Amino acid sequence: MGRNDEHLRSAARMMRAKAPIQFRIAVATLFVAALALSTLGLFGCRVAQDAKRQFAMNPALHVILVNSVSLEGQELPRHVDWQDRERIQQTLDQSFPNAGARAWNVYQINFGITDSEGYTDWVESVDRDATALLGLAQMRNDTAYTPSSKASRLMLYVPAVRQTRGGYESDRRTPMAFSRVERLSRQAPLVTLASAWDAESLNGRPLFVSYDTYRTILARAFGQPFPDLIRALARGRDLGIEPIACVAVYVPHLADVDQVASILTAHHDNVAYALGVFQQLSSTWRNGARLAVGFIAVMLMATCLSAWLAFRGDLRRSRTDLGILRHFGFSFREVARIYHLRFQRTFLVCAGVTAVYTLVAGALLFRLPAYVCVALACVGAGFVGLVSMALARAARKTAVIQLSHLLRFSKEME
Amino acid sequence: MIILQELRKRYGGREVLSGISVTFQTGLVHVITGVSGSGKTTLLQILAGYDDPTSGAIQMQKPLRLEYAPQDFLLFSNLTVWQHMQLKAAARHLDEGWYERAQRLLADLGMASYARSRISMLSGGERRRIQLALALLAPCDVLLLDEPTSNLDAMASEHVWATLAREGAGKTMIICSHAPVPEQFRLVRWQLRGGLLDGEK
Repeated sequence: MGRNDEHLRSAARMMRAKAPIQFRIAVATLFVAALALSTLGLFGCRVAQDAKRQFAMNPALHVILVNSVSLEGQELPRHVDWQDRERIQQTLDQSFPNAGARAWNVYQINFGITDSEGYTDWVESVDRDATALLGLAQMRNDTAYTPSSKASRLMLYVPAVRQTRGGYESDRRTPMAFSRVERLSRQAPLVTLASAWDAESLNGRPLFVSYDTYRTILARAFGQPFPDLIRALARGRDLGIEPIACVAVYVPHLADVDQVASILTAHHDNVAYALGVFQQLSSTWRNGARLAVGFIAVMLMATCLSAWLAFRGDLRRSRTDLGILRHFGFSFREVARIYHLRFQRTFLVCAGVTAVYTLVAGALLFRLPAYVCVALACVGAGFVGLVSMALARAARKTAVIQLSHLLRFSKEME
Repeated sequence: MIILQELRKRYGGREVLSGISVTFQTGLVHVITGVSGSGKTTLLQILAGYDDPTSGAIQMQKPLRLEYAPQDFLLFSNLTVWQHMQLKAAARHLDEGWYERAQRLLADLGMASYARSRISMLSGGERRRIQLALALLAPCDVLLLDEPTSNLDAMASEHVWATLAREGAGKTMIICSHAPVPEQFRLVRWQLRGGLLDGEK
């Protein structure tokens, strides 16, 4: 068997030397098809990864902000107040308990406070268990959090607010030291959602503090304990501030965001959420993606089909050779094996080149994870292997054709 | 012994062989003559197993090893003469001795100096002799030869007949030829006419 196989390899080498232009075109087409398949696969994975990172995994898309409530019979909506967080939570727990949505307050001090860096800060805060809205695990009382600050410590000059007949005024400031300043990630949901913060200037910037520090600042500004302030506000006393900036609702599953927003809207809450903005875009995107996928699939099929047809064309033209080999005395199995050996090395080289290209381009050019590159390399090599197997099968079918029919195609019969 | 029973071959509406029933005796040289298109090549192709008869049967007393040298050249134009010998040896699983035998056959047919030549460089007569050398390389019981001396001059034809006389001794040979076959062979002459094979007296 081994010696016979050596004979067949020797015959295959002779046949390989007799590679017509059709075979070379077929090989070139196969390489193009394999590399196109690999590149499209890498590109598709890159796009999917980017979409996953920037869209599905983006925490800002899970957040709905409620900043006002439209009341029946009133033309203007009212701003959210202290009672709204609890009402919203109850509404969601009753209407859509499976969503697991959580509502938190986002607090503000809606007058500017100057600091040691020369900025006027718009101080804000969130509930103690809502620090994830700022991309933080916890907030320290001695730390100021801002999307952009180069200082390592900060001094806030909190104005002492005094009520006058004409309203409120302040002519005295109390310094309040922060021993640390931390930068907030721009990917943090509240930072992403508050577009106004992008327009940061020397005249003003957002500055987040812990809830306890927020309470301390308000207490110092108004010269009375925080609970007394809240009670006064609840009684309807006008202190010139609206401590609740908005209620932030976090929805764990992206698929539930729209439904939760609809429920809130049905309960007269005015909502703003990033996913809503994406609805139009995602529809356009989906249609575009469908078209692109369809186009790519057609191109891919056409490329693969052309590679296959090129080899089939070469096989048809090689019928003569197969016939002459049968005439020499090779059995049809041996003839099929010789033809297979003739292109086997080419396919092995193609599979190797495709795999190496996929791994290198995937890692260096498309910056994909190793497991994705390896999987795509296997798919590419597998595609080449499939064409090889299909061609070997076609060669076997051709080799068993009656000799007189094979030789009828002869151009060697000179 | 090869026995043909009611052998018929039809291409479309045309019947080329019309029920041939003959026996080719072992060890003799059977020469089949006939006008062009009378079906000589078709008969040889059916005997060689390259084509199937439309009806009828071929019987052999035992499995016979056949070698067929067709009228058309079944050679690879880009391969050398020696590569053809190698392919033939590989196809017939010949043992080591084929090398000397191939050299001797090429020498007998006047082709020794062409061993390294590509087929595309050879004339029709030279290709004819290479095809004969290939048919004679492997041991066989029956030689089927279609116009073995066409394209050959008188000198080359003599070489061919001499080689066939030596290499074909004791073998059954069935030769289709327009050219006369030397009397040195034990000849049985047949004429293919109207699709039937008649023995000549």
